[in-house]
Amino acid sequence: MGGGGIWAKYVNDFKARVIADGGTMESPSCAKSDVKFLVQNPEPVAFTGLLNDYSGAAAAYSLRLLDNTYTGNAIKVRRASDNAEQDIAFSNNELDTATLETFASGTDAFVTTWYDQSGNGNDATQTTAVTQPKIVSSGSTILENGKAAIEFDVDWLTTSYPLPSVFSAFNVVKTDFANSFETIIGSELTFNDWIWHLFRPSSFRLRPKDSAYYSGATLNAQKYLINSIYNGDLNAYIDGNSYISQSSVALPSPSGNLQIGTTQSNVSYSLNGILQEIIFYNSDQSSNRTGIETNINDFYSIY
Amino acid sequence: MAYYTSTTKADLEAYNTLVTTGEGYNGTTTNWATIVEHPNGLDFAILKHDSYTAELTEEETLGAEWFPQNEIE
Repeated sequence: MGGGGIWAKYVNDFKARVIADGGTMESPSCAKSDVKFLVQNPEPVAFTGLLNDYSGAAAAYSLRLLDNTYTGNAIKVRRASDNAEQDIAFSNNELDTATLETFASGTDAFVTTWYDQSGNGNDATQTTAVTQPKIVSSGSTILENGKAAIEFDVDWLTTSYPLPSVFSAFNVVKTDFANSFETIIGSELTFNDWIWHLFRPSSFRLRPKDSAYYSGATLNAQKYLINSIYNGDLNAYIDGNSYISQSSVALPSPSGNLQIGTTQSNVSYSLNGILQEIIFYNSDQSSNRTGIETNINDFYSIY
Repeated sequence: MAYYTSTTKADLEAYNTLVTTGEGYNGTTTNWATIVEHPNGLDFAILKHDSYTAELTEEETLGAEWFPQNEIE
């Protein structure tokens, strides 16, 4: 069928719909132009991010766009060749890896800032070169299951996000359990003033204070979606399944800011693995938990 | 990763400045490495940069005693 035949069919179909709706169509040639325009210029499907659907995050770090009103960058990186730094934005709602790799120009690049997309300005930074996590290796973006990932190798980032007393935290993380203790999120100031999220081979732990901790079944060296919710009771979920459930957990008054990949800047407790997304709420998100998990899993294909 | 060690923290701070200046860090990055303090409070160490040498004691690695783990389990 030629092009004219296709448009004639579209117009006839359109005319049939107009008549079925009780209207009239006096000018088929005019309708043809209008129908052709509409077909060739469809209204784009509006992007909706996780934070559009589940608002109110206190801090949100990701290598995908989480909010369609966020106009900032994803990360700032330092390239190894000359230590120049550059912001990297999003392209098609994901990290602009083309610009990133052009900037890296065949060398490594390291994350100096992971920007907070929540609108609260709680950016995560690392000012020390040797403890900046890597995002580009020999010119190629580090990928995990086809998605950009930040590689931590005794590296960490410190946020300006004050530790909350009630929270919900969602992490997309992978470790190979190379170190004895591997922190996902911890406290900037002390070992004992907040609930750590850490791996202790071969399980995940939540550690509220002193030597007390809660853990669950053995894990594998693979990517997981881990989230915890603390509202007086403490619950953790891995890949949508309950992993830790503990009632009436006392939590010392939190102080200082949150760190990603370590606690108290301690190399002995630093993450050796990858992170792709961390989102915090200063609230109990139990009612939204499955929806947030689904959103994350739909994008990262974790389980 | 090799380290320089010293009982004089200022020597390692000077090395950190040497590398930081030489590398021309700008923007968010402000220094090369963090000085590690031994739990004995007497010894200090800093990661060695391959391109910068100094008249300091070089160690191939730091033993576990430099990084005590507070958690018992």
